[in-house]
Amino acid sequence: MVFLRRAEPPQSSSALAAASATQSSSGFLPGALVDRPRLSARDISVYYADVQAITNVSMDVAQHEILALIGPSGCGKTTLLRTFNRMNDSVRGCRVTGNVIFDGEPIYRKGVDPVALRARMGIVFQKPNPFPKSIYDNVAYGPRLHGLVDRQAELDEVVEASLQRTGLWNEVKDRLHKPALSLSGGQQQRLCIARTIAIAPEIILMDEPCSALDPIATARIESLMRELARNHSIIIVTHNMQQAARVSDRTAYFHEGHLIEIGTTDQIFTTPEQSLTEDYITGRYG
Amino acid sequence: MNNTIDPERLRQRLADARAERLQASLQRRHRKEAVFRGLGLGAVCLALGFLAVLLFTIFSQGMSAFRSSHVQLTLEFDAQRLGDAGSERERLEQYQTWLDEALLRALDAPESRASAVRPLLSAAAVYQVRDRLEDVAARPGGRATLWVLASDEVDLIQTGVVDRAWPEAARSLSDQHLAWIDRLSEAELLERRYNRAFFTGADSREPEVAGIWGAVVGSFLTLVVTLALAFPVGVATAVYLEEFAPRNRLTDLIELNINNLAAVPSIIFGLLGLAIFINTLGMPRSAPLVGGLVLTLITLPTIIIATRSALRAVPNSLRDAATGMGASRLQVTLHHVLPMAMPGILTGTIIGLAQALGETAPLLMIGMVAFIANVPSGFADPATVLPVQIFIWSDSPERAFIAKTSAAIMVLLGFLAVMNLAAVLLRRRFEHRLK
Amino acid sequence: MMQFDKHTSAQYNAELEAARKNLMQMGGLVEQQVEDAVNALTEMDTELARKVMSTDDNVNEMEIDIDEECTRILARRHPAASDLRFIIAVTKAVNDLERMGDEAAKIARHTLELADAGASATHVIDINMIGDQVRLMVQQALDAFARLDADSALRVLQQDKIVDEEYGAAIRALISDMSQDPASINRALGVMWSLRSLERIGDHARNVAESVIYLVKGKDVRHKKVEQVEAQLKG
Repeated sequence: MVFLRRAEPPQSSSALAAASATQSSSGFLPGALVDRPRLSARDISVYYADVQAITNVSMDVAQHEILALIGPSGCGKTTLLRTFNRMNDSVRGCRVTGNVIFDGEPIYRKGVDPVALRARMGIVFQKPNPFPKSIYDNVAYGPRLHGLVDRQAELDEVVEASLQRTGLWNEVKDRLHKPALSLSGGQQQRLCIARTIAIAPEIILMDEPCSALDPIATARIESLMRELARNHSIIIVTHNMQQAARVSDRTAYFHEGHLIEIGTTDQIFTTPEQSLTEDYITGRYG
Repeated sequence: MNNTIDPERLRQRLADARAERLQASLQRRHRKEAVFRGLGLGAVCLALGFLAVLLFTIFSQGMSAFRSSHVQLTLEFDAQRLGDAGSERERLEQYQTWLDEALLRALDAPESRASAVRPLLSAAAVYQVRDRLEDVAARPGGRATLWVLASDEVDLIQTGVVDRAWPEAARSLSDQHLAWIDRLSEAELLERRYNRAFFTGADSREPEVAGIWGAVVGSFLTLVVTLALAFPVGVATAVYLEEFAPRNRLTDLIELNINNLAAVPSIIFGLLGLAIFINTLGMPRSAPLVGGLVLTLITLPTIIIATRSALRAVPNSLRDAATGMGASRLQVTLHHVLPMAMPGILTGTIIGLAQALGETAPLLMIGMVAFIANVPSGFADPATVLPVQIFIWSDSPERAFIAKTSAAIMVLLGFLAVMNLAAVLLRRRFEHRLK
Repeated sequence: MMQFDKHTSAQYNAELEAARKNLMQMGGLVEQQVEDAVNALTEMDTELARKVMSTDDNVNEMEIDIDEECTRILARRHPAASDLRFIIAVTKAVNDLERMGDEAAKIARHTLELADAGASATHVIDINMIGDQVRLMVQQALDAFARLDADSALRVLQQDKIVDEEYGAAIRALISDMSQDPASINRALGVMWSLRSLERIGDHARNVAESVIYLVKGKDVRHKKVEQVEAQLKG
């Protein structure tokens, strides 16, 4: 969900000015850069027609970390997430300036195939959205699509391994060919994650993956995220600050399209430096 | 008046007045609801009433057309005489003679002239005799008993459409004919039997042999052309506009025109077909091919609009899911969006075809209103279609065509019902499969 | 910096404000207790000493109440950032205040024992000097908490260092008195224990001030030398 906002000066302009003043002359917030980043946003701005959704965001994502993007509705965090795997390409009137560096290569450049990019960067959405096919076909879709396997036996292995890793295998192994939509919401979301990791992405983008789930299912997914972080970098957008506090290694706070503060989750949730961040995470926003 | 509002007093006053006022306002609301419900129910009843009257009229008039009066005759024939007859025409004359003799025998009126009794039988009776005798012609001679079609006038007397009490001058059959009819009935030689000709024959000037098969085949051939063209073109257009086309002034214009096209009177399409397909491209008149082309133009907007709304109903989350997995635009559409939209697309298509099946005006323009006494056997053959056949019959002077018209309407309604049922079943099956 | 009236949830504001108010109330009570205890000791006022001891029950009750309040806020509001630091600081300060109350009660008990032994007021100057300073520290620490003032909290830390030095000097003086006049040992011990309690109260005031610094600056300055803390706060 993307809330649009006119590109006018934000209301709390003094706080915002204070926040941007901390940007060093090189344009990077303290804590925005990491050693040997997996993915880097460099001076990203996103516009929807004449509305600017994101303004000059620069930050890194480290190998095998969970990075949480938090902020009030309309702050651009989902837009930024979708910018990482070029999902915004299909949005009419969307324009991106700056670049995203993935594996040392800029992804916003002629000759970069977004399809190939998405095969390396999985995405999990807010609402569980399994295909209206069988459980097996859902997980097998990616490997089949990209021709990752040659033999049926190999495909079976990939499906089983993916379901195992999401903890879904024991729950569905007897009904692999039943419709995926017959699963519960939490199972569907884990199926979507299994479907994503079946193509062995290097980065997993998650757009509020638990907002439609109950606390138990949420806890399952959160613990699953920790597991996945051993092999993947995870970027998660969440409205739920507790969730960001629970699962992430680093947290980035966005406000009206600006990256206000980024740092270790411990630091952000105990001693944020920016008053905007402080106000948001203590519930003083708005 | 005190201008400042004391919230406590206001709350108290509201609380005091609430029970009473709530009661009054509830009654008012319930009354309004009851009136509204009554009006709605009345409207539904009125519509159902009209439908019932329509169906009753059609059924009561049309049922008699599924049976027709037949006379049982016993022919005495001699194969030798047939063999002597050289031409087909002479053979038919021979059959006619035997038929006349048999009828005179049956009426027990040997003194009457053959021409006097002929009005009792259909002009087609001699062909029935020929068909029957051709396989027995190998025999040297003998007797053959068969039911032959009575004339439409006899049938009208039998069904009571023409009242015997009418003065002789108002009837096409004389009192003598009525007496003969009575005699045949008493001898159980005259009865109303299943009217095979109605379902197997093409149009005819003689009501008792006129059938709808020609029109059914014409409609079928026309719809085949329509389906073959409108479905792929319509779906492809809708998919392109909905999934691929950029949103700009040009596509907006196209969209506007498609919507306008759906509102164009169908006769305009008929004129277009006449001008382009027949006059310019030189395609045959009255042909299902041209009819199908014209109906394609009429059905296309329906299919496009239905397909687009079906595509739009596919949740974006599904497109996102497939795109996020690395599927290309085309793969997203073919693997996920189209299958999901298929029930809606098929329903729209069937409804479009049903609309085409009932279309009359544009087909009149391209000559499908011609009298065609043969069942068409190809797309280029002259043909007519069911609604046009109904139009032709309803316009015919013979009284017997009234029943035919209603019967043909019943057949048409039957086809439409079957198509709608198919749409429902298809949708249900697809939806079940997706679940 | 910290504003309790800016949360979207008005109840949350009220809960935090209530915790703060109760803490201040408890602080005022303890401050009074310390002052009374010092006065009772210097003037051998047994009445006042008994009052100090009975007040301790109130202080203990308040400690429990405020802790409960903090637990409830933690459980229901999941406070973060400054709110979280505030709750943590409050629970710690409450703990320190309760211990100050205990020390004040101890001083009162020694006063009663001394009075029973028929001793008259001695070492009034030492006691008064250290007592005043400690009371001032308590006051300043609470004040820093109320105004979320890290600078005045830092001054408490600096003062604690002085108190510690003075306490050492007073103890040395008492020991030399005792060696000169063994008959005064009992009395001197009572005074010594009381001074010891005053010094402990100063330490707790320092703890409260450290909590204030954590609350305001988000920096943990415990177990560090004052100079280090100063440098850390500037840096």
